Amino acid sequence: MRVIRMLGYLGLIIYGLFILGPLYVMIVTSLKNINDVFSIPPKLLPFVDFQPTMEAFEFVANTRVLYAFLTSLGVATAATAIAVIPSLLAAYGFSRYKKAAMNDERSFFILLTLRMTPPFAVVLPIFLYWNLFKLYDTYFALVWTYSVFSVPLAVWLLKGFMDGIPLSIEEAAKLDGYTFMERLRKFIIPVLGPGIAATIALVWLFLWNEFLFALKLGGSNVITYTSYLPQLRVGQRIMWNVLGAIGVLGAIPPLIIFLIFRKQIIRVYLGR
Amino acid sequence: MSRKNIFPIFLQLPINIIIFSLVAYVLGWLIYSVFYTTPPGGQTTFIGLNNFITVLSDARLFNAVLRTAYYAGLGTALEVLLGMIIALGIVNLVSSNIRRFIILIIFLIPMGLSEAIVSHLWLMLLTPQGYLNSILRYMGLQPVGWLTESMALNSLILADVWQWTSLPLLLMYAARVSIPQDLYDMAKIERLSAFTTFRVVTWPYIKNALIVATLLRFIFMYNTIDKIVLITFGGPGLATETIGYYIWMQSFSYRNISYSATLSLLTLLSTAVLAYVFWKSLKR
Amino acid sequence: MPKIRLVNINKKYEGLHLLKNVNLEIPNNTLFVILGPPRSGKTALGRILAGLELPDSGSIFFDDEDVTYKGPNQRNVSLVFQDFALYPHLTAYDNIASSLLKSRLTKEEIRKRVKEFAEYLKIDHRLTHYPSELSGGEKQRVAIARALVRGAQIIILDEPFVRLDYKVREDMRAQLYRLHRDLGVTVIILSSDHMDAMAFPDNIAFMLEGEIIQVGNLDAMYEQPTNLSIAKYLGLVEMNVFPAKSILDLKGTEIPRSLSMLDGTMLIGFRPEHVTLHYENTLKPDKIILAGKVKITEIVGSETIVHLDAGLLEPVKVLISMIVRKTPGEAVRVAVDVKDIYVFDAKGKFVGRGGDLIGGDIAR
Repeated sequence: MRVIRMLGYLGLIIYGLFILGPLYVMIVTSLKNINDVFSIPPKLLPFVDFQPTMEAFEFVANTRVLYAFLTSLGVATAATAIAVIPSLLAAYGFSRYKKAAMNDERSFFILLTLRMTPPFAVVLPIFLYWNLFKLYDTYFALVWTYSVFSVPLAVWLLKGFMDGIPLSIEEAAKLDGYTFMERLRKFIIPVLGPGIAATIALVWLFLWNEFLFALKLGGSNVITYTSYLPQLRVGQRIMWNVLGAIGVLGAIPPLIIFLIFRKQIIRVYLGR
Repeated sequence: MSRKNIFPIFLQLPINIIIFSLVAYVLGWLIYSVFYTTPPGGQTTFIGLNNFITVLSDARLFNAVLRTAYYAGLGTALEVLLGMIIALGIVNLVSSNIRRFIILIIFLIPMGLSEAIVSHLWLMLLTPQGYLNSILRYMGLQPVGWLTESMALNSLILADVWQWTSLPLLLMYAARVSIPQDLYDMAKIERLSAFTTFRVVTWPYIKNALIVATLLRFIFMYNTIDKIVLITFGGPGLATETIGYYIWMQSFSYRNISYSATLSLLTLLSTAVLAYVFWKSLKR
Repeated sequence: MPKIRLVNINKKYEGLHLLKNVNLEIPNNTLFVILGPPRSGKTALGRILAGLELPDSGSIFFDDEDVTYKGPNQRNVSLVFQDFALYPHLTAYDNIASSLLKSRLTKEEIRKRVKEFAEYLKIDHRLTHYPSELSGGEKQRVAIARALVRGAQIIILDEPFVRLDYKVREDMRAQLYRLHRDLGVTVIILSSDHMDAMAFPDNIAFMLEGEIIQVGNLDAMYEQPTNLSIAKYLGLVEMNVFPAKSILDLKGTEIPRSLSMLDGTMLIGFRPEHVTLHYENTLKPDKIILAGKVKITEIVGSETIVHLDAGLLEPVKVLISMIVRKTPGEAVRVAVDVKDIYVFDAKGKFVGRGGDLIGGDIAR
């Protein structure tokens, strides 16, 4: 028995190293001079193998990369903001009016299908669509597309949270004389609070990380930190250290979100 | 609430407006493009079922389907299995809640990163002069051709396993943690073996999480081509060309609009089928 | 405290006919119990009364005013939910005050009213706490205060005691009675617990499968139930019911002649509390005497329930109001007075009591 436990611990540690290894590599690479990146033996220990430098991060701060990050921030936030309230209303409908037209299981299933649509199947038509309106490479096009694809996820999550609130609370509010909008504002949203926050966070994160649409719907004007990445590989010299720096910076929002919303995120999975 | 029949419809209108503004055109365009084609500088012609005939005789497509099955199938299997083992490992070997929490957060990080970031990270590792080979050479071993024709698809699977094993892990961890401790105490009293305990107590609860995780991951791997676009470009040759990447190539490299639309439409149909399976499994 | 009249209320839900032509009159200022097993339609009726749902057909009158289509807060009715439905994000004070915030009262006046009711229900010391910090009994009192503070004249409580501890229930029953008496409001209790009927015996309506089967006081339902279900429902231990034929055919028992006039398909019921241990050997013309062996003896509090195997389909239950110890297998004889018997037809409809039998009122 002891042997199995030892092996188990070993397995966990190996998996832990497996996960942490590449992350460590990414961080270390971001601190390197471009010439130090690849070598034999690999330079993996700062101050021991190489002198850490901030030149990758300086590059990020002084070039379009900074602009790309800000674009990601703006686009993700805008699209989330647009999608949230409509999704809340729809989630309410799916949760409380399960028998009504457009709120029943079949409609929810259609929403589910939308969520599972592969981007590669629809990027071309959407690209042509925006082209038609001369809105290629505009913020509006990307934000609106993002909103459309955020809705299924947001409704899915919000419905889950909504289902957890007993109907009797709303009925008590109805008995107390509150109208629907008042009930929504004063009773449903406050009680739903952490759920709404978690939904917003997860949807935002999904958009922050999105790549394909940003690549094809943006151009020279609209660049997100994800669609910028391929530009670092033009030509023979690939700027690996900048790649690392962008990775590190791009990982900060997810980390913050996980730390703040850990309870809700776990609950989202536990609720399944 | 019989007199409030119309109200729920109003609740659904906003998202329907948002979604419809795009989906209507997309679906319409796809269906139109399957049957009509406009060659550059030429006339718009009706081509009937030509596209479907092409699909049936498209060997490259067939191979892409096989590769997708392998990629999504093996990837999902590894992620779900590994996720389950690690989840159970955490529950059985780590007792402190704080430590469990820290471990879970660490394992969660790869999931939170963009596919674009993870792709470039693994490019750093897999490229011939990259870190993995440097380490191997440093240890005196032979470097591996991670991105060669024979290995590339597996390397992509490796990268995906690194990033997404945590999803099945989380789902099954949550399922395992929801099992009342009493059942395990009973098993101990009845002196059941570890295997029997797993079969009788753990498995019934975990089974559902496992099915959900499997479907989620399979659909996701089927749907996502970010890593292929950024690490291997479908190559070397066609070694990592999945259905998704093939459509991507048809759309933007070859510009076979009509054919790409056909493939997209077929993919959407298969997505609907997969979504249906997922839906049914959720209703348990 | 208006008089409530429900006329021909019908309600269907998902194909189930929940309420079938319900007619009920609740006099003003009463403490009324609507009793019935789960799924009998009590909650549906309560919700329709409160205005949360509309009936498919029928009307509701408060003192001759048709309120069928009036919203809940236009109707002067309050409903206290089974799960109390307190707002988790508000303090007890804010919970109680919530309905008043929609009225035109000043903050001071609201404060006064809330304090008043909180003190009356003895929860004023918990007003700053959140529902998650309150005990079950406290939560219910907050819910009741919230219902009362609106000034509603009719208060409906849906299964009010189901979530409370046994001891707290007794306190709450007394509290509800005092409330009704002091404030002069009509209190309607929806319950599936016959103990509630026994606590508030004056006005009871029994509901079964969407219909009101009997209305009256507890005595009337106890002595002259219109239906077998009611007879079995009321009573500390469930009534013994057997087909008349099986009793008449029983060997080794003594059946009075008056019984033999019954149709064999009829059902005979007798309450465990009316069964006595029989030690004499003489015949009694007006008693059924059954002989059998003791199966189990249950001691409940200060009473004993003896389960007797008398050769019938099920054991005969005997309720003895003191502690008696019988050994399993012991031969015992019990007696039931014919006067105490209930007679039902094969469908469960009440035909008469044993007294009617002797008087010759019941025959084939």
